[in-house]
Amino acid sequence: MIEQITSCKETYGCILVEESVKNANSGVLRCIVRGLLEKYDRVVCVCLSSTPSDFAASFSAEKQSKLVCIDLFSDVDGWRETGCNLSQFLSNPKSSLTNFSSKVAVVIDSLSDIVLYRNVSTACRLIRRLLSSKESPKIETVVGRVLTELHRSDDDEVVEKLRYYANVIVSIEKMPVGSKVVTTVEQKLSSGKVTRKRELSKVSTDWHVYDVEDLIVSSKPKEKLDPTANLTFKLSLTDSEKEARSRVVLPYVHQHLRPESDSRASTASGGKIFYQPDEADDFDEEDPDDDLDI
Amino acid sequence: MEEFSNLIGADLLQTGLTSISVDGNEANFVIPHYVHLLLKADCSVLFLHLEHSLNHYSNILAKMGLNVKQFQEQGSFIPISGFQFFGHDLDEEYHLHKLRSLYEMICEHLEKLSSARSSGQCALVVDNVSILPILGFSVKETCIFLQYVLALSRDHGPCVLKIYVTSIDNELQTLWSWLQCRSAVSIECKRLTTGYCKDVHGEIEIHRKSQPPNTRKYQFQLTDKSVKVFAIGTSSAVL
Repeated sequence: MIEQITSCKETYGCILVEESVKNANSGVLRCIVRGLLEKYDRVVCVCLSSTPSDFAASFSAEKQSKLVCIDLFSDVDGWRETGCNLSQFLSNPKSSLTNFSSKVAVVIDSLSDIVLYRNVSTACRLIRRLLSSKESPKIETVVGRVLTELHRSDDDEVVEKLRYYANVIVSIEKMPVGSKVVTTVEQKLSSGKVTRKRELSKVSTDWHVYDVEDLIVSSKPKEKLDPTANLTFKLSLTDSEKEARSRVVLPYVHQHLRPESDSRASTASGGKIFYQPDEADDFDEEDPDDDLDI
Repeated sequence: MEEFSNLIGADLLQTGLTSISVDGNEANFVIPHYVHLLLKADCSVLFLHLEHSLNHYSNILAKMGLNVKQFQEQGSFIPISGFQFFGHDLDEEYHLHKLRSLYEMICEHLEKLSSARSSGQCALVVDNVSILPILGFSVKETCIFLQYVLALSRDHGPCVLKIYVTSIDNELQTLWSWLQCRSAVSIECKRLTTGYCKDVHGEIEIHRKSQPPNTRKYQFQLTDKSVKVFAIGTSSAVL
């Protein structure tokens, strides 16, 4: 499924890529961008967490010619008065796209920064506005990257709200070793069905996903580990020992609950208490617990 | 066993952000080591010190054999004191415009350093970023300021930022995560979870954002004039 998503042969609407700080360099986002560059004439990248040159340098010269980067990294709040800042972009996101007539895709790196500098509703409105706009050029695909650690202390449930707007959610889990990456892809189909798949794959240096293996979550109950196995001494009981154990009469079980055959044996062999009262003892024949109704 | 300086030397002059998180006083050696190595590598340093006074760093660098005043007179070391910048109006509520003024001061000094040297890089070192939220700036305002600082330093040379992080402060954790995703090299200096040990004073985890990413863990021991770094479990007490 990850191969299908990164090849971008179908149109998915909004793709949300969830990463953590440790696996932020997994390359999955760049694989998706590579797929978009092969499908569309223009891919617009809104750069907030990296410079446009750093982002574009990941791709070949041929693909870089199709990549249009909007630099919000250098002047996010308008201090340098370059004319390209976050407020201007959010007020009219398609202002820099008016030169393009064909369909385009937009990549936002990263949505977490938009949430941090503004709020989650601004980020959600941006996605909706980009996808639903009827003005030319038509934006068919929006890809947004989210760093989950930046929002773990938020009460706004940022990631959940962004997931609501996404048609495809690619969650990148901790990378095992080397260039292997574990992804969970959740796709919301137009019929309402949701498909989910967890896969182990590798990412090549030219941003292709290959060697994809399904990681199936087993529905069978896990076999309980037997702690008494593989020991040098015996901890378990044989059948005869279990039977003998079941026959042991517990000392404090009431007389009437014991089997009849055992009750006589217990009276014969049980301990007796011999009490010899002194002259000073106030010996009362009455049972002090007589009034208890147990 | 090797010196801490050798460990960080390979990434020293690479353009980009090196971010360092510490959770205790044991890791106060990191920033002076960076300043020492940068000045020795003939790199100009603009040093924004928010946590300690310049005398504190001068004394540590003097132990390492570096005369900071000499570099200051040559014009290749410029300190900016956070105490002087923020200390005048303690009743004032700090807003983003105050950080913008600080950014403009940093711009001005970096331009001076660059024009004074026709070749060579100008590094920006900040100790320590977590002072800004403590002074009252929000995480958003601190991130905007740091975004501008990063964009500025990319044109001049390496940038080294230190931040103090605790598990109970969500704002500092968020700030550290934000810095990590922008760093080419991120270093975490932590205390030992098992408690005090006279032979091992803490752990260092160095994460390099290469393809594929590379993470190495070490333990360190502070001596009077240096920091020894070794693989986990190979301290002199064990060997």
